Amino acid sequence: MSNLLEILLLDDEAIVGKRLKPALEKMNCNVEVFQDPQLAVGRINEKEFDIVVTDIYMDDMDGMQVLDIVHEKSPRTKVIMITGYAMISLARDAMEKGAFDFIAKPFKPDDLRVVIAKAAKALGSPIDLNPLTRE
Amino acid sequence: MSVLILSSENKELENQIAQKIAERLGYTTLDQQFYNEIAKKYTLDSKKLMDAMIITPSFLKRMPSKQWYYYLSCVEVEVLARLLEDNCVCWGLAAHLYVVVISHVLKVRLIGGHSLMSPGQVNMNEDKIKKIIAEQERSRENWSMTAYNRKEADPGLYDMVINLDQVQPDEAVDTLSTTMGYPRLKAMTYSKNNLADRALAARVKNVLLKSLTDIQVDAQNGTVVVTTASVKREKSKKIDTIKKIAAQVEGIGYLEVHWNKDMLTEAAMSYR
Repeated sequence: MSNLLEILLLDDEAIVGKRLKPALEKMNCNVEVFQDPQLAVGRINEKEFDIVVTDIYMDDMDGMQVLDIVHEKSPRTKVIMITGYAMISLARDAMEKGAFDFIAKPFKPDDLRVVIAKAAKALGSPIDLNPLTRE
Repeated sequence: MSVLILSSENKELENQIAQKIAERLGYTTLDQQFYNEIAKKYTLDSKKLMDAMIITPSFLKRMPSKQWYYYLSCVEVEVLARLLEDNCVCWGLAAHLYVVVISHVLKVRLIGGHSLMSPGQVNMNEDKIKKIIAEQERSRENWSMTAYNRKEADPGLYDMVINLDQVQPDEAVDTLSTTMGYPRLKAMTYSKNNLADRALAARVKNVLLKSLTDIQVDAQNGTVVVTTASVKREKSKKIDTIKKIAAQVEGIGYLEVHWNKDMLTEAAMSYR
């Protein structure tokens, strides 16, 4: 794939973005990290992302609202929900609202990379999970 | 990519409904025929294996507790392994009792429908049918409580309960086939990981139950926690044995053993 996959990553814990950004950039992705949901939504209104990865429980706005906003702006964008408070009802609600996937924290960066690769495939832009190992 | 688990005391209707749904959705089926395969894999007597899924441990019935728990564990391991493959209708294997909190699994309890039973049974008078059903329910409750500490007929165990006295079997097939297509039942990383953790815990428990008793196993994100009890002087030996045996199981990220004092045996020994 020649084009970079555009990803927005939203989590109010700084450590999440700090850990995941380099892991995703290795997959030929351009990653924008936000901790403030309002700023993230502002950016979503400016730019169409291929994938949005969002936490669910945040202070100003929850991930379900972000999911609605993303789908209203860009139905093709794949939204991946991440949460430390995973419950069966929340997971089902997220899928009902059209989330692409739902991941419980803690997870390894590789777990997210696998899901991102699936989302890229669903978008018709498959990416190599291990570009550095294939010369 | 989802799984339907049915439970009912009316096996005949359950079987018909499950088969029709599987056929309509193009899903695989997993039912009591699977016992033969399990028995063969673990070199168990298939009749005894089927008995273990009906009766509680009893020396009179030649089903000691240790053997009974091991038989149940073999079924659990194999059923969970199959369910990991998705798109399956499963019934008659008690999966509703050990597959819990998995969001892409729809669990349905079918009640009633006894007037729709086969002609031989319908010829019985109503009181006799009621008496047989009540006895079966008591027996199943006793079994499910002993095996999994859950009441099989508890509606809280299920996503949906369908009363076949009010809903025709074909309507139930329509309803469930449609429901299985709901986005909320789609498999996701979270639910697949939960199911994989349950399958891992079941595999660990199974290898431990071959030689040990008093074992509970839980798993989360590949971390396995084994809880056991013994008298204090056997603590180190039991923990070491568990670690050694469990290490044979593939997929364990980290293993932790929680030990509790077996107060009853300890008290009994102090009186000797």
